[in-house]
Amino acid sequence: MADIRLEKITKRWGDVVAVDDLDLTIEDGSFTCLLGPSGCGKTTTLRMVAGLEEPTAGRIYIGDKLIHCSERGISVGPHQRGVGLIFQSYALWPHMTVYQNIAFGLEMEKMNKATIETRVREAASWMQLEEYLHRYPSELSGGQQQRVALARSLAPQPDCLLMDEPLSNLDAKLRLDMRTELKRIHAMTNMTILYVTHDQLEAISMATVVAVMKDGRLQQLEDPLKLYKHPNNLFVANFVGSPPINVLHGNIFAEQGIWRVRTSDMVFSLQRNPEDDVQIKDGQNVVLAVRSEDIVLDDPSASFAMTIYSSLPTGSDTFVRLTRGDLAMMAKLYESDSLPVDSQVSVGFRPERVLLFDEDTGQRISLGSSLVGFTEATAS
Amino acid sequence: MRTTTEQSNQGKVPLLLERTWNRGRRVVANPPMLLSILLLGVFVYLIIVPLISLVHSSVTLHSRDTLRVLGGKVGELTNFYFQRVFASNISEVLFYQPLLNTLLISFSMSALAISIGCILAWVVVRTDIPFKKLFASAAVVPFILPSWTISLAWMTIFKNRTVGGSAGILEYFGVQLPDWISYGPVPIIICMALHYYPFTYLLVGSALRDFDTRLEEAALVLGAKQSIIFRRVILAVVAPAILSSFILTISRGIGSFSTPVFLGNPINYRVLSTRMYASLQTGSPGDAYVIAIVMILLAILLMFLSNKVLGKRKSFVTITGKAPKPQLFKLKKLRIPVTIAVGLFLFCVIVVPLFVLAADTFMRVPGVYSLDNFTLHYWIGESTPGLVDGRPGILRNPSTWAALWNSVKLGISASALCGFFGILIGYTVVRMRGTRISTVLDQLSFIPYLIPSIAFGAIYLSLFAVRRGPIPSLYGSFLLLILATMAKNFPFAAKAGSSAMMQLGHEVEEAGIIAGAGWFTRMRRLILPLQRSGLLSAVMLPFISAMRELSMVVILTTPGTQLLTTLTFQYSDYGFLHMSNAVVLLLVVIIVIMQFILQKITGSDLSEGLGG
Amino acid sequence: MKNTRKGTLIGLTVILLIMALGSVIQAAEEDWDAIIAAAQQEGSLTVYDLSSRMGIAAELFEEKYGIKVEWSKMNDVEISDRVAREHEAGVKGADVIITEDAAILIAQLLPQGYVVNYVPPTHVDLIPVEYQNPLVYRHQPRIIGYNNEVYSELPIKNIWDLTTPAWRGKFMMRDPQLTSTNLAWFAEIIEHADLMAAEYERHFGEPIELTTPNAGWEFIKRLANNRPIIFSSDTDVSEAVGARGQTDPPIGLYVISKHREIEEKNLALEAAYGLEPIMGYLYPTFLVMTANSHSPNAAKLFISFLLDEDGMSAWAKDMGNFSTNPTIPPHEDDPLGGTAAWAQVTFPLNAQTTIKYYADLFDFWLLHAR
Repeated sequence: MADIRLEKITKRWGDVVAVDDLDLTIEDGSFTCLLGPSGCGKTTTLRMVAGLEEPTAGRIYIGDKLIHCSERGISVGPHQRGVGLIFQSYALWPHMTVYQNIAFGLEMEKMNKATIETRVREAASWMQLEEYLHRYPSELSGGQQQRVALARSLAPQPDCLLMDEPLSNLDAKLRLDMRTELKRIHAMTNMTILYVTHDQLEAISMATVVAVMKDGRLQQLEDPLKLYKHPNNLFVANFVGSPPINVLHGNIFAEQGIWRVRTSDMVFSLQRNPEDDVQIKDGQNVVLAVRSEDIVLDDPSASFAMTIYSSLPTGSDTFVRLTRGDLAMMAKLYESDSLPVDSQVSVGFRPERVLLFDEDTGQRISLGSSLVGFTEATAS
Repeated sequence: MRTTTEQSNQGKVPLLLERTWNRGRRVVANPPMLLSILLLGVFVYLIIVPLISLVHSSVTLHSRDTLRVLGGKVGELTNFYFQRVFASNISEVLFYQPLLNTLLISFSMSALAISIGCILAWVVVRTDIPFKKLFASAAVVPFILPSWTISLAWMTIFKNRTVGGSAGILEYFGVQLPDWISYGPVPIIICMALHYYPFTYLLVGSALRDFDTRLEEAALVLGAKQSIIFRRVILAVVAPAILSSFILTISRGIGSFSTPVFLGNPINYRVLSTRMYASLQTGSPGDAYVIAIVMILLAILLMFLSNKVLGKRKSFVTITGKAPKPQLFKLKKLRIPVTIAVGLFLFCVIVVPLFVLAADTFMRVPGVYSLDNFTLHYWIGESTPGLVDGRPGILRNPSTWAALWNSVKLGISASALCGFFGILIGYTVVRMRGTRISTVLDQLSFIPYLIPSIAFGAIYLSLFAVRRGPIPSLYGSFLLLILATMAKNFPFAAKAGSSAMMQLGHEVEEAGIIAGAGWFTRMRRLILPLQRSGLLSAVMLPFISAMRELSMVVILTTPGTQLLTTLTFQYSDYGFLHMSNAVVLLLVVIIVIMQFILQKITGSDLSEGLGG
Repeated sequence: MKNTRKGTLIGLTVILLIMALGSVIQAAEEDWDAIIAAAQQEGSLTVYDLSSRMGIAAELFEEKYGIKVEWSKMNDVEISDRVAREHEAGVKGADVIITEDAAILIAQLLPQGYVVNYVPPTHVDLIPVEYQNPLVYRHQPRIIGYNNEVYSELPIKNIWDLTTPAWRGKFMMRDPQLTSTNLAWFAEIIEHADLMAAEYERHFGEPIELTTPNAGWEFIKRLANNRPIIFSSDTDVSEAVGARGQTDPPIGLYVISKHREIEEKNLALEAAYGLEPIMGYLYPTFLVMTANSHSPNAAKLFISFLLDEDGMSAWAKDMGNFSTNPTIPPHEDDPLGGTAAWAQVTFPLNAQTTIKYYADLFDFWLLHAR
């Protein structure tokens, strides 16, 4: 078992910077998800850890072992890094049976036949593949192929398991099954897992730590639930969560411990969170952001009127699209209800859930304020 | 605990040394890197050096011309040939007239071939004529046959007495034919169009087949008239296919040799390729090399133009999604006439030429088509003085068997090497993708495609005729034929190899790397077993093309390395048309069998072999 | 400018000739029996030749000595190009070449050392000296012939008739660019420009109007402009001229030995006896061995063999081939009875004349023959 440390890792292809000065530690035994939109450098990062790509600059350690150092030209071969890798396409060898696929890596380690047999059967039984050992990959379903890929990576008992969007080729139901499976594998083996995905739901539901990346830079490294609640910046706030977080653009003014955010036709009064230790400048451009499930309808306290544009009940809950002038928000109600179109509702936010970001830098200002008042804006 | 972090800097110079040493070790141990350097070497030797040698040969004095350039020494630098070709009193004969003829023939031939191809494609793909399968596969046959089959048949039928010798069938039956039907541009254009129309047929046919009829239906639903749909929808979508077949056809036209040689030479009607050949033949290689350079530049210009034009519109062809089966155009009353017309056309293009050639081989005295003139002599006869200079019939003639054996030997060795290099090139190009060396390899492997075959032959002749430093002279050796054939087929082999590798994806190999398999193990156990079909097409296509190649090898063969194709050419050169016809028929039989095997094994159709 | 060029050329040729003389192998001291033994040891040799009758000679040679002859039929340009390339490449190629291209042989192949002249001791006292440097082993007339089924007598009276509209597109010959002797014939015509001019005036009754330096050049230009039909072989020419059943047959220039095929092919051929001023030309065929022969002894033996009656029989059995070996008489059917008589009615070719005009003549023909 081992942790993985990336120090000042940069990867460039010509003028394109895929990964930019990345410092990242993946704790021993963690299930770390690299999350980000396509092209953010997450797969490149994973491949650099695996040894399939060579960083332009920086160092990588697995445990105590320096496996890459650009400065000294050191780069340990992929095989000596003790990692398992699961590819997006599974990369099963189509001309080999399931048994041969799983056994290949063991053969390469020059194990004797009996050991190989034991290991293969062990890995297969883990993944419930015993009856398919003599089939070819093309004779298996997508989910079974995925399990063969897992068994193949697990059989040599690597210290770390790297996975590159392994579930993206499965349908929704199978994907859910496999998620539970993977989480279970992690719990049982306590292996260090580095998992690349662009699916924020997948990341949050499976990971013990999520690393959000954008444009080759690490945005936030966080426990998944905190990440959702306290995104470091607007990008993370937007990327994590579905539907995307609601945003209102305005200017902020401080008045007697109360923050007032003035938008085009409204002024929101916010009770600042005592944990926030920030200085604001009066008139600073800010973004006020609220998750859809933190919007409360018909709230008696601080509230303002909006119009129901349309509502989409899903059975368990309801998404409501609200408008007011050029402002639009999506609210999520934990009840199934079909609300009449064009009716007026009063809208409020759950306490300590209003996030504020600096519009220019995108950085978070507040950990969560409460809406305490609201007024129509007057032309000033 | 983490001591490794600290044991870093020991001063700048040792660090640099350590880095270089470590990196160097990895490069050496990195097979794709090594391979690409190796392949680069092969390409430079087989493609770049010959090209340089061509240019060099065009500016150095050749032995015969010491009679022309007085005081000149063999091998000294001279602009004599460029001056002779471009700006002398015989430039018109050597260059300008042949250039005009080449352009005239290429353009007219392409126009005709494209018309035929489009009509056939539309009729076969989009109408309700019967015997579709038969027509569809028959329509490709003319391209499979050696390109001069139709010209030989044309001569056998339409030859008049203008250039003497026995007249053709029509004159035998009393039809007087004017020169322009027997020889020159008209028959050349017709015969070449009949050979090259399958390009258009295949490309336009597949565009029509893949064409999403929903586009057509959408237009129909919006109330467009049939004529408007045809013009604005179908034509617009098929246009890129037509354009690319135009480029393909015309570039072949520019380099084409055998048809103009048979139908143009008798009346001194020369195109660039035949002029170049004549210059080589008459001992003026310098002129020939200059013309070859012009031909290559022309081909490159065409390719450049086509990239300009096609590059923008390519996206048109790639319509995704499974299209519903197209609604077939109902010919109604015209169904039977159209069927007969198509059938008749294919009959005239395939059956008639072969039949005529065959018939001719059974006539003892050429041009006399009567029963008492029937003979099997040209097939199985024993040497008879006075008949074809005492040569025995081709099946009894050791030179036929020697040529056949040479052809097969050449086909096998060149195609095996092609397959080998194709896979290696494909592997390296795909594995090193994104690096400069990969791009360079990819582009280098494409160069032979740009060079007309006969010019390619000239290039190899110029390089290997004499020893040049470390490069031995291979003139007259079989190896030279193998090298040239292999290099000429690099583009197809590389394409087959890299598309097979692309399909395979890099992850299959990376999974092996992670599992700890070394490069040779990966190649042997993971990559090669998965490349069988790619390997096969990388091998079979060069094989077939080696079997029927004439214009390149005609320059490179020597009496000891005669091939079936050059044998037919030589026989017709001696005026033994029936011997030539018989050998062509033999060749046709072999090629058709090979093609059949290829199709059976790979299940691929010919369009892949067109290298479009 | 042209004159100085020709002057240099002649000077050059003289030098080359001297060099060529120097390269004659001293044959007299050789032990001929040892050569035969060594030749049989070598087992085979390669010959490049223009004549397909080499096949017969090759078989006879193999029968007599058990040495296999691999021979290839090529034209003059191919032979000289190949010999030069094979020499440069140092590969095993021809051991003996038989060529009619006197100019290239004398001005290039011999002085550049690609081939060596060899007169075997068996014949050195037999073959007339003028045919020994380089060695000529036979002579042939190439003549103008016509179809005697259509024409009961010679349809043209003077060679100038070939340039008249009546014979436009109706004169056939082998390609002068590939057939060195045809080009050499043109050179002789230029050399005899005064005769040509006189003939013109005698035949047409008026002096010739020149657009070229002299009547010789003029003849070639007018012949070329008259769209002669070009073939690659004498067989083609003789068949095209002599085929029966024609209404308007052409006239052709071909080797007279093709008349041997008259019966076999049922041709109607007659040579233009009486044509003014000449009916064709008489040309030598040279026999030399290559400098890097891999079977030098077999080559020597083969050269000696071709000079003998046995070897010559492949050609001498039909009329139209004259051995330079005086012990082999002309064919009994020969209408004139020997080379001396043929030389009277034709232009015998002279290598020096060809070398003199070669450079200009080649392009001149290329330019006008369209």
